[in-house]
Amino acid sequence: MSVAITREPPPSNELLAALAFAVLVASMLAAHGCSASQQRTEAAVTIVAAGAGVTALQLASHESYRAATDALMAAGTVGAAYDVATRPIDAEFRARGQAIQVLARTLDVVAHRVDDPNAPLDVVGTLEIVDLALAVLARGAVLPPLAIPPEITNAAAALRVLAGPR
Amino acid sequence: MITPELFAAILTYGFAAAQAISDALNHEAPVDAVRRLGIVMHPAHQLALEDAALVAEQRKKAGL
Repeated sequence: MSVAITREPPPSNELLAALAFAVLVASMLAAHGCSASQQRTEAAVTIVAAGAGVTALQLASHESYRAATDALMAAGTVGAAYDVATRPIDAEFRARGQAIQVLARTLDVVAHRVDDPNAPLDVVGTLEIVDLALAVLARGAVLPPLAIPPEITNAAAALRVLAGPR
Repeated sequence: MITPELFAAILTYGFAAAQAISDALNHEAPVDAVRRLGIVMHPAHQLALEDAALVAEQRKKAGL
């Protein structure tokens, strides 16, 4: 009797790079003696990097919508029946799209403000918006929940550091 | 083709109004018009256009 030995594939370079980046940023932000302006600068870099995460989220959202609607068509649901069957799917997809847009706009604005010590910045309010958007994306009634990319969770973590204890 | 009115509608009222105007004018999806003309949009508007383009593509496949 032969025994098949399987080996887990090694982590991808992208995953390793994302993990290393997260550790680097977290250690820089948490380091003692890191000034407030340094914290803001490091946070700005992390938040700008979250742009790649927004793109990944949108692609994942498109993929789940395409899979759900392709499955309907494969089951023979076309024409007017497709129109009816896709209403809840379309509604969830639209809600996710709006959440991704809100996330993109919020991160875009905060990335600029956080890097300017003179710019007004409501970190707590920003965090609330980001958390709300992520909650919409992470739950799914008719579409599978979307995985939140590490770039986005890194940005949220950087904002939490700026916000301080709550 | 995209018109100044359509472009202004995209910037001012967002995708829904722009889609309605575009459909009424020439059935060209705004995302196609924007890409064709190389218009640089706010990323959030671009996301909305791309979402709508996917919905339109799937509805076409389903015979709508």
